[in-house]
Amino acid sequence: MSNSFPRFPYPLSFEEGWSFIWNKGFLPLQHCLESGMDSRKKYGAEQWMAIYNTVYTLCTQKPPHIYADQLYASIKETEVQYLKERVLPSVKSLHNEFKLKELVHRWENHKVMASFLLLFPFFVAVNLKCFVDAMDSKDFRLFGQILCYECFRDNVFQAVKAEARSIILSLLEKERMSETVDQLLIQSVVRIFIELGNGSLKLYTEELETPYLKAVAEYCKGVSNRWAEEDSFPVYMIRVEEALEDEVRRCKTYFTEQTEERSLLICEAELLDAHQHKLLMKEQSGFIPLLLQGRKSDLARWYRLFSRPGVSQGIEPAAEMLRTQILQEGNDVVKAFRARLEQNDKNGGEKTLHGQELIETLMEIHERYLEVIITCLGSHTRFYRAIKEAFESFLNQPLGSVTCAELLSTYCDTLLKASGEIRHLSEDAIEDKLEKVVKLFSYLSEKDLFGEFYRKQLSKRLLFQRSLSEDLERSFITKLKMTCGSQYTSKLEGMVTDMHLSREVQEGFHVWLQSNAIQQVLGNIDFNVTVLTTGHWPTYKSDDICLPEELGRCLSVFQEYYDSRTSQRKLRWVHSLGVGTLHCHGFPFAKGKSFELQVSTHQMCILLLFNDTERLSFESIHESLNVGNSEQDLEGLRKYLNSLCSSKYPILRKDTTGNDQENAKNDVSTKRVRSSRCLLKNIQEMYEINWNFAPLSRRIKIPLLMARINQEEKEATRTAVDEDRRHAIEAAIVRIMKSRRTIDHQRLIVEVSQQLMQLFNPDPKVIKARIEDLITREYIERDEQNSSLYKYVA
Amino acid sequence: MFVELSDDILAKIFGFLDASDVLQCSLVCKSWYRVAFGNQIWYDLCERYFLPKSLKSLLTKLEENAISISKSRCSESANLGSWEFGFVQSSRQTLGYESTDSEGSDSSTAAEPSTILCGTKSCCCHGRKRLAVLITHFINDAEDSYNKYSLFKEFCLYFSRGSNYVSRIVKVLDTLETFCRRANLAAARTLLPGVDDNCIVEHVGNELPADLYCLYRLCSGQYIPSDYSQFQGILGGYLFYDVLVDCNLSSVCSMQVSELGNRRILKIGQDMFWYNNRGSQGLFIDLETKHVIELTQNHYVIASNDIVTYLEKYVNDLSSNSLMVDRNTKQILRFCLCPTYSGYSDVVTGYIRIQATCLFVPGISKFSHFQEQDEFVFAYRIRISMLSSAPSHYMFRLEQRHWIVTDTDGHVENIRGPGVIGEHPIFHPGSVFDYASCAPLRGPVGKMKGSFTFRPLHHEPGSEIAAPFIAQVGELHLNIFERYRFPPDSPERYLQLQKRWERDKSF
Amino acid sequence: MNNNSKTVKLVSSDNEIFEVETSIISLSETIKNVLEDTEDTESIPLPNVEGRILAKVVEYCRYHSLLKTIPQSEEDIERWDREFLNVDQPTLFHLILAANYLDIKSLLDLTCKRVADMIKGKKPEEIRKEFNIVNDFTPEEEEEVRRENAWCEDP
Repeated sequence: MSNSFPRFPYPLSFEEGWSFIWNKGFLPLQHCLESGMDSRKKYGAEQWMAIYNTVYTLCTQKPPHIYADQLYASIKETEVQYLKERVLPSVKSLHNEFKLKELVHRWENHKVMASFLLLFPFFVAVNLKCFVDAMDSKDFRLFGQILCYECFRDNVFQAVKAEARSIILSLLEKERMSETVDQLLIQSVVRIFIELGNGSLKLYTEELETPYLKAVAEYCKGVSNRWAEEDSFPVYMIRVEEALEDEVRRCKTYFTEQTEERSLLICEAELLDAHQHKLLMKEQSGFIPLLLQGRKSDLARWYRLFSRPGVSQGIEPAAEMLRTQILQEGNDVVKAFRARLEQNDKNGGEKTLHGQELIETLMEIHERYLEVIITCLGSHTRFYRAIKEAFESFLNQPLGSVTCAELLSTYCDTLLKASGEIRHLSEDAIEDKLEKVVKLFSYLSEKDLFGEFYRKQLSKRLLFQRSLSEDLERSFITKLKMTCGSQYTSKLEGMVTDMHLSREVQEGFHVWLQSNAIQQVLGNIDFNVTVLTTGHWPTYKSDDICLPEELGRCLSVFQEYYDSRTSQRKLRWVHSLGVGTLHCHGFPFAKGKSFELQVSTHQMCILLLFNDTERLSFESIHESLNVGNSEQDLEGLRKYLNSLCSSKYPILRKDTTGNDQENAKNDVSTKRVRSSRCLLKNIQEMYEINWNFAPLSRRIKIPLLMARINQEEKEATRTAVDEDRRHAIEAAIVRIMKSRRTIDHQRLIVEVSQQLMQLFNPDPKVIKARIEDLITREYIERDEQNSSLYKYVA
Repeated sequence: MFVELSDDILAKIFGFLDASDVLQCSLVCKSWYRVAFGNQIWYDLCERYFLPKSLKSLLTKLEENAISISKSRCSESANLGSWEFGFVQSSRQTLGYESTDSEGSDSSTAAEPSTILCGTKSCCCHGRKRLAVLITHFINDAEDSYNKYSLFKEFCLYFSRGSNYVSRIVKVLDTLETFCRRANLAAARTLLPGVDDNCIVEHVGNELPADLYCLYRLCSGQYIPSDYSQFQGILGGYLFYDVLVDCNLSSVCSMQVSELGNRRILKIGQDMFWYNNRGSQGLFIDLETKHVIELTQNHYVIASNDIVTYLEKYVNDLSSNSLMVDRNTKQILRFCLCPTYSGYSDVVTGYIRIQATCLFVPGISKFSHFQEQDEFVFAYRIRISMLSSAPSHYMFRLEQRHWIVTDTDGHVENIRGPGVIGEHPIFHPGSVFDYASCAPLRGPVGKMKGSFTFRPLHHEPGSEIAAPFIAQVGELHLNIFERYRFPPDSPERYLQLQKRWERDKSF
Repeated sequence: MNNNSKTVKLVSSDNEIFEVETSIISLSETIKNVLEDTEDTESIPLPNVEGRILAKVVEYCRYHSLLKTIPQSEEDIERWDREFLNVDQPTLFHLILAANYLDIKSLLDLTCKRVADMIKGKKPEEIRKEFNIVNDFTPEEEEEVRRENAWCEDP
């Protein structure tokens, strides 16, 4: 069985061993590979073991007969010879694809031969030191390949690489032109470039990747110039997208990820970046036309392409264009409104309707662009910023006699009122609109002004039960809170809560009345009190008007109840907001029935006076009611009386002796100040019940205060806001000075503005004025040497 | 017969042996001698004993620290003694032994600023340079031209005694340094490189145990500047009431041997107290038994059998994220957050999550043979948070606390009070409130649990205000034995408890 | 790979034939490579390995390849290995050579470690006695080596 098995003498000489290995081991293998046979057919197991044995012997004999180094040298030598004499000529002799095929074939052969060596582990182990790379010595296959990479690379590859490269590039060109090429062949050759790098991609990068990338750049430059001239923007983009996808596919098929990345960057730079400006500005099909025409898919494609990493300017130019566009649209709307307002002012007509229109138009613009940003432009923050800048810019422009803050607040008011002009909207729809309002709100620079207006309107809604739904109110306040913080909305929340608590108090009051059987004291008056917390609500004046006895009793009973419930709380009655319902009997024209009048407290007191006498003079009314003597008080009383004598609801009749209707009219329409003496002396006005009064319905409401904010109130609000701002600025200055101790003028202004930016934009002049004021009040002082430096005075 | 084994097989066999065995083999016969001094074997031994790769990177980092410290402090003439926070200035309590603190030693060296950065003294630099050269020869020797055996010999001679601790200590220091760097803690930059043999002898004589000696050859402790303005202690700290404690690794030149009863102890870790001076505390080594101990008010407890084991456990806890790092102050806290630690609990009730962890503080505890005066103080830290998944309008205010503390003898105490540490914090979804306090017990073990009452400030739809809400604090086991042992001369009842714990690992 | 047949014959130096499943004996890298690199191999001659040693090798390979399908605890494996190596020195020696020749890493590690254990802690004279090695140092040479090694006290 072991006939063919050689028995070597001990010690085995190198020459004998080597010749055996060469003849019985290598030559059959080479032969096999050259003739294309399966390498495993070269010989059987016996011969294999014989060779193995020989190698083993050569490598493990005791020194000086250990021949591992020489073995390695001899193998390398014969390999190199084989490559130079047989392999290289055969590759060189062929052309084009055949050249490549031969190269691949030879390389595969070479790998097989190399791996032959790794079958000898002791050979490997002993020679491991020869190899510089720190590799895992268990990975024998790699070892063998390393051994022969250099051989093959230096003796064959270097000579043919230039040609191989140009063949590949030309094949790729062909493929770009949609011809079919042998993909596998190209892949194999690229793999050679990679494998010969021996773990690093340096060879591949230098020899193959860089020339390829150059070719790609050339190609892209060429086509992009052509397309940019010929095509419209959308068509250009479609073409570019296709080209990019094609390139990705190509790189994925043949090259590495690294090449794919780099190639894409080049393509993006050439195809997109270089022509961005030109394309965006195209007349018919540029960016703005696309926006206006609402071409969603094109916009989305634009965003996809131009947010790629290779485009250096990215989406910046377009974002600028967007901002300008929005700004223009907004400005146009605002200008139109302002013009109409001026017209109106001249004509003295209705303004608020236009206000609603303005707000709704702005909301619509906002929604429209927001939608585009979200659906097509990837919700990118840059675009959000563009829309924000645009809106902030035109929303805060002066509008003449009104401000946007006021208009917004009024719009909310109409939405939230039960009897608003905007009827027939479901709660969800209103909620939706409010949501949009909040977005516009966030762009306002005078948020505190909005807050003041809103507060006044809210108080009116709450007190006169005009609010549509408490939930809506609360939800809007919450939305405001999320934008501005809880401090901003604390008063508003307080107001809503107050109404809530007040109801509790009412119920408690009624229960208390019943349980303590005090109901009789009130007679049959149904008495309800709303308790408000000072500070949350706008300031209302209270007066000491003398109430009729029944009312007075109600008040004191309630006071008793309230004191029993709470401690250390003072109630201040605001009669100007009170309402009452009077049952009227005995009017002949009421068809024998009684009717009800809903009047304010003041009006009620006046009317109740007439229960005793039919006719009263102005003076006596004035005295009985204990109205004050200032002009405002007298004006006020006059207004109430006039409301009861108005042509619509003439409950009373005025009888002026000594003066005709002319004067009476004058009294009402002019606001000239007269001394109280004059009033009393010169004009003796008598008032009497108008028995001819014919009520049109059983319930009549006499309007008291104006439900809308009139000019006076607006100015009052403005003043209040300015006052608050002054305080806020002062507080900010003091805070900053306390923490910084010393600071110079410029920086102080900057920091104050930063702190207050949330609510409003402080005017540097105002800040300066406040600083001066604080200096006089000795909170801060100027530095002696440097007059623009301030110091904090503890 | 065995002589016929080829060289590489012999080398393989020797690869399983220790350095001393290999040297014995070299005496057996000439062919064994040849193989025994083969480079590959000594390469592996060098790696095994000294981990040169980690050693190199560690030494580089420590050298960088030294350079940056000396550059920034070169104008500073103050020394380690005069910390601003009043630790060493005010009077010491006498604790029944001679107080050991840096003030004593440093006032004597006050005139010499150069002793601060002991590790950068020229003698030390020279030695370290030599070591660096050795390491470079070892790592970068591609041509295999250096005799690895002689390298090994030189490594061993550098560390003289304690060379078999090198690999463990290098691992510990490396992990510690890396952790601190990654968490961006200031402590990493204060570690000083190692000192020479002479330096150690000069400061602490010949008494150091081998492992501690090796530690100081590699890293001579931390440099703490006089404007101690940040938490820099690398050994972790803790909080109790308003006192913040930070423990750093003492620098070699500030060490002094002192006496505790009839034992000689050496302080290796220095506790820095903030706001409040409570005496000189820290980590000590008992020079006879090599134990790592911490002093109580009148005695001591044992933290570990030797410094390397102590550090290994500490570093293990750190890198497994079981210890807290305070996010704001960047202080390492020794409070353990491991879910399997019986002194940690994490309970979610509704939307409130309460995590609690406790720690025994030897420094303010005391025990003696008179039981009535014994006090075992456990510091605990509570974190209350509201889950972010709570509805956005929810708002709770902490009204009351309730603690149920069970002492060692079974005595149960109920403590109720308003708020925590005088505050009534308000919580929104996602908000977090931390505070620390402490619980004194009369014995070394106990249990603590409790609850906090919250009042909602938000409105529930439908009703007016929601009902008050009680969140539970999971039970914490206050157990000194998790980390410490009593010394053999402790009162018998405590030793009994200790035996029970060791036997059952529970009570 | 055409050598899919389940078994292959191994022929020892003293012409003993062992028929072994290929899956088991593939623990030997060498044999695995032969089978991969040639076709239709029925028998493999192993002239450097005696029959009784080859038997032990096969036994080792069988146990350890079975561990892949029926894993056992660390202690059990250790116990088996210890039993396996409960042989006289010449056998141990030949096992080392065989493991090296057949490139069975785990067996080589195991046997070498065993020898290392036998060396641990022994003085040179004891080692020589144990392994029957002749001291070819002259007394002066020996003395010199001893002096060289003196730096290494027990750490």
